[in-house]
Formats: sequence, C-alpha cells, structure tokens
Amino acid sequence: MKFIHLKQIWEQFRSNRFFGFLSLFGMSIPVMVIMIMVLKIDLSIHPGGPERNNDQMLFLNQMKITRADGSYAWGGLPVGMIEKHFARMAPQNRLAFSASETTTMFRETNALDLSLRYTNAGFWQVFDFEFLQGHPYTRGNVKDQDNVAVISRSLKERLFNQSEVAGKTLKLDGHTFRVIGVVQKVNSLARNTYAQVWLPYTWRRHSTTTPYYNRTGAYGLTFRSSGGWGFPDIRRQVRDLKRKVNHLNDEGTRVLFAGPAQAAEIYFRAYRDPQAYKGVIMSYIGVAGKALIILLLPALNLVSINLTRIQERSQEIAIRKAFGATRKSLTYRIMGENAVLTLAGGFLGLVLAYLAAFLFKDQIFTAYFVADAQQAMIQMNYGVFFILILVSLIFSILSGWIPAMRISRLNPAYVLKGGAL
Amino acid sequence: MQTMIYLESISKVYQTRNIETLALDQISLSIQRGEFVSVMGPSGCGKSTLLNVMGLLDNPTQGKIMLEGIEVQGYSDKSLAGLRNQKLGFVFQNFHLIPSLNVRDNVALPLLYRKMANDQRKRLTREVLEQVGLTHRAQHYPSELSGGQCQRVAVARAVVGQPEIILADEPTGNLDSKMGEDIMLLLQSLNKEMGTTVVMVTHDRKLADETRRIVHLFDGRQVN
Repeated sequence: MKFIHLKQIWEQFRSNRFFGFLSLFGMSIPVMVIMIMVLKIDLSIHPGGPERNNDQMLFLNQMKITRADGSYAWGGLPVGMIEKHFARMAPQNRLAFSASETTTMFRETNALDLSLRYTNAGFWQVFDFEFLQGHPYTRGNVKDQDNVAVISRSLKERLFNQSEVAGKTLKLDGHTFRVIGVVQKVNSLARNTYAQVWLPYTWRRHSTTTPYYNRTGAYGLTFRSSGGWGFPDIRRQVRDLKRKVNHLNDEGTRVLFAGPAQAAEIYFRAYRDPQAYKGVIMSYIGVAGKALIILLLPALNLVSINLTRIQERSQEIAIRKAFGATRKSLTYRIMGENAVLTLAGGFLGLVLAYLAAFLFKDQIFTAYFVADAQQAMIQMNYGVFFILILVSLIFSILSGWIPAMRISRLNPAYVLKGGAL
Repeated sequence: MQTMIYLESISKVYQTRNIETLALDQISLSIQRGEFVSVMGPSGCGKSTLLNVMGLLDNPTQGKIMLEGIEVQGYSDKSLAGLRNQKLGFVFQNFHLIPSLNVRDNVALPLLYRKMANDQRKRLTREVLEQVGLTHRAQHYPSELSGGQCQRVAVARAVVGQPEIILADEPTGNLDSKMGEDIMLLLQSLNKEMGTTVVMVTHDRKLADETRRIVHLFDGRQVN
C-alpha cells in the first residue's frame, strides 16, 4: 500500500469521524476485553518467577471435610496431616508446603504491612527462586525453629537500602529474625510462592503437630514430579493417603482433597461446577470460543458499517472508477481500509487493556484470592495478541467482501447521475 | 485526420420492471483527433448518456464503439479502467470532487491508478494546478472553494493524466457567466495548445457556437 493510500484512508477517517471511531472502538474494546480475559487466565496459570516450571508441578491447596451431621468445611490442609502423611510420601526435595499470612511490622514511626509465607525447606527446591544474596533455610533450620528469614528484593531495598544484608535482622510479631537470603521480587499473582518474607513454618502461630483429621488447616502443598515420580504416581499416592486418612477419621467424617491438580485444572475448575468440568483442553476451547464470539461482534459491526459507508461513498467510488480505478483496486482499497482500521483498533485495544489492567488491578485479580493485587506484575500475552490481530484481520477482510462485491456491480454512470447504489 | 471516437448504430435502453426507455437510438458519430465538438439538445434527449457511453462509463445496449480505431466492446473491467485512465478525462456539471480529499489529492486522483513515481505525480499535479491558477488552493478542501474554483479543479483532474479526449458534461452548467467563460477558455486552450479532443455537452447555444461542430440530439436520435 502506497503512502498516499494510507493518507487517503486517514482523510477518509477524518472526514467521517463518527464511523471511524465507531469502527475503531468497535474493534479495540473487544480486543481489550479478550486481552484482559487472557491476562487473567495466563497470569493465574503461568505466573512465572519461581513458578515458571509449574508444568512439572501438582498442587493440592484445598480440602473439604464433610461430617456425619451433614456440615462441611472447605480450607487448606492442616500441618499435622502434612507432617504425618504427605511429608513421608514424597521425596524431601519434591514436596513444598506453605501458608501465607499478613502482618504489620513497626519500624520507628512507620507501620509496614507485610505478606509472610511459612514454608518447609523443600519449598526452596521445588520452586525456582532466584537468590540475589545469601541462601535459603535448611531442614535443620526449620526443625530447630531457627530465627532465619528470606526476604524479597523490594523489601530489602526498603528496609536496608544497601547491597549486603549479611548480619541484618528484622523484627516480626515480637521475634527477631536474621536475614539469610534475598530473592528476586515475586509476582503477587504467583499464589503458591508470593510473599515479602519467607520463614520456617515451625514459626507459624498455632502450628501444631496434631494431625486434625476432622479440621481444615492453612497450608497448601506442591509436588514437583521427577523422572521416577510422575503425576500418576503422585495422584495414586494421594488417593491412597486419602483412604488412610478417612480410615483414621471419626465415623461419618470424610476428607476430600481438591487435587492434586495442575495449575490450569485448578483455574478452570475453581469457578465451575465440578460436575460440568470437562478438562483443561475443553476449557481452553471454551475460552477460544468465547473470544471468537466477542470478536464476531466487531466483525458484524464492520460489515454493517461498511455497507452504510459504501452507500454514502458510492459517488466517490463512481468518481474513482471514472478516473481509472478497477474493481480489484477498489476491492483492495475497501479491504485495506478495514485492515488499517482493524490494526489500529487492535493496537488501541492492547493499550486500553494495559490501562485497564493497571487501573483496575484489584477488580481484575481480587477474585483470585490474591493477597496484594496492586503488586501484580502485568505481562500481556503477545502470542495471543498476535493471534487475535490475525483473526480480526481475517474477519475484517472478510467483512469487506460484501461491500466490495457491491462496488464491483456499481455502474458509475448511474451513480454520477444521482442514482443510489 | 485520425478518428478518435467512432460510434456506430449505438442504442441504449434503460429497462425497469415495467418501463423500457430508449435513451439513445441508432447514433452514429465520428469524432476526429483535435476536434472540439459540442452536443446539444433538450433535457432528457440522451446527451449525458451519449457522453457516458463514449467515456466507457456505461455500456450501450447495441452498437459499436471504437477508440482510436480499436473496438472496445467486450473489454474486461481492467482494460476499460485502463482506457478511461489513460485516454479519457471527465469534467462533470456537479464537479464531482471527492470532499474528503484536498485539491491536490483530488487532482492527483487519476495518477494514483498509474504506475508512477511519487515525485513525478507531484510534479504533474503541481504543473496542472499552475495551469488552472489554483496553486495557492492546493491544500484546501472542495467545501472551501467557489463553484468556479471547483470546476477548475475538476478540469485540472481531467487533464493531469494528459488524456487524448476530454468529455465534459455541462461543465459551465452550475457556474455564473463569468466563471463559465473562464472554464470555456480553459477547455479551448487545452484543445488548441495541447491538441486534446474535447466533447462537451451543453445547453448554452453561445458556448456551442464557439466549438468546431455541434451534434444535435432529440429523443435519443441525432438530428443534424
């Protein structure tokens, strides 16, 4: 397309701003909606950072207890049950468990709200944290309830404002902890790892070694598979363990584990009736179908706008024909205009999606039980954006066909005499 | 002298659901290179239809059209568009400028459909705007121009591609007498200085008398 054609498309847009903006926003708003939808799914399933290898992991973050009287409770897993059963089933470096909490740290005259995470030592082997300084705590540290902590880079910069943390301490809930490691900041959407301070789980208040077969707890588990310990092995072992726990339970009390499952399974199951859950692939197809329907709206809108515009522009098209435009060149022109509008609308949609994601982080991510939605690191999925633009382009080009067909039938003499298309 | 346009037994029938209208009835006409011919007749006699058929904007129902000795019936859309672009230039009574384009882009329109370098297109446009005295209005839009200026832009657009034939459909019809004279002078100078063949539809006897030949139409028939 020559520059002058682009210029003329711009002139066309300028001369009929109403239709121009209608087309532009008709395209950009669906693109924005889909990008936000994908962003939510993408960041929930692939939060990156320490969880970047979560395709090798199975998560078991919730359990349900039903009692003989018909009452039931949903919650995390109790630490006693983990220590007594789960910790024994998995290789030590393949099982992570942790519970998150928030606390307020008082420094001189400032109060600082902090996200804490109490973990076992295997947590540091299961997840891929990037240590900027120091090292993680060990099984020995956890067992002996040593006063050690790992902190995030952002907290380090805020508290110590210097490069080395060796020998530094921080005071939390009346206890003083020695900082032994600093890790790269974690996305707050990484639900299994996010925190600003990580502590040995033995420090957690109310922690107990009683198994509590009939109560829920606060912990989530992550299993990282290995060559000799695959997903089927893990799932089978958890099934066996459930049977064992239920056998130990009071008569009529039953434990049901919501997993172990992959991140995508958990995401798609969370908001659906478990009976209706058709699996991850079907869920992705469902999402793609929704996106397609959302995209169909601007495509239909473009068809209707194009038909109206052609009616309005019939004289211009007749003039162009009189001065040498061929059917093909006019067809390309209409389709080119659509393509330019679609591309512009698509990119505007991406900008709007970024704006919306930053302005409405809380609203977008709160439903995912994220502690600090404001800390979420937004990363748009450009692969999806590319597909979106490609599909939109196909739609928009197809939507140019009908008007282009009408153009090809246009009799310039008739139109120039004042006849309607 | 070479025949530029040759029409043989051209008829044009407009067919609606119930009515059949004979707009042109067995017109035979030959126009030579460099001629300035006017077509006269009462309203509805088929003058514009004849011009549209000559300009390959409309197909005759019957008859033969030859441009520079070549029969153009059966030409593809692309070939007809090429002929209109290379050989013909149109001037319409209502100017028919594209309102969303400025004067320069309106004038350059026929050149857009030619393989031509940007610089050459700009140069030709500039030259023809100078010729019609509208260089200072190049960035203006049609809505900002007077009727006479609009028609001068339309003439500039018709001649920018240096066509051999200009077909003007009542080019002075919407202009006052002074502006009409200006346009007529412009067409005459193109005819004399460039040797461009001009066919002009007009109601104005005075203007028609200034042309070399007058073709009279009445009820779709030639009545010379």
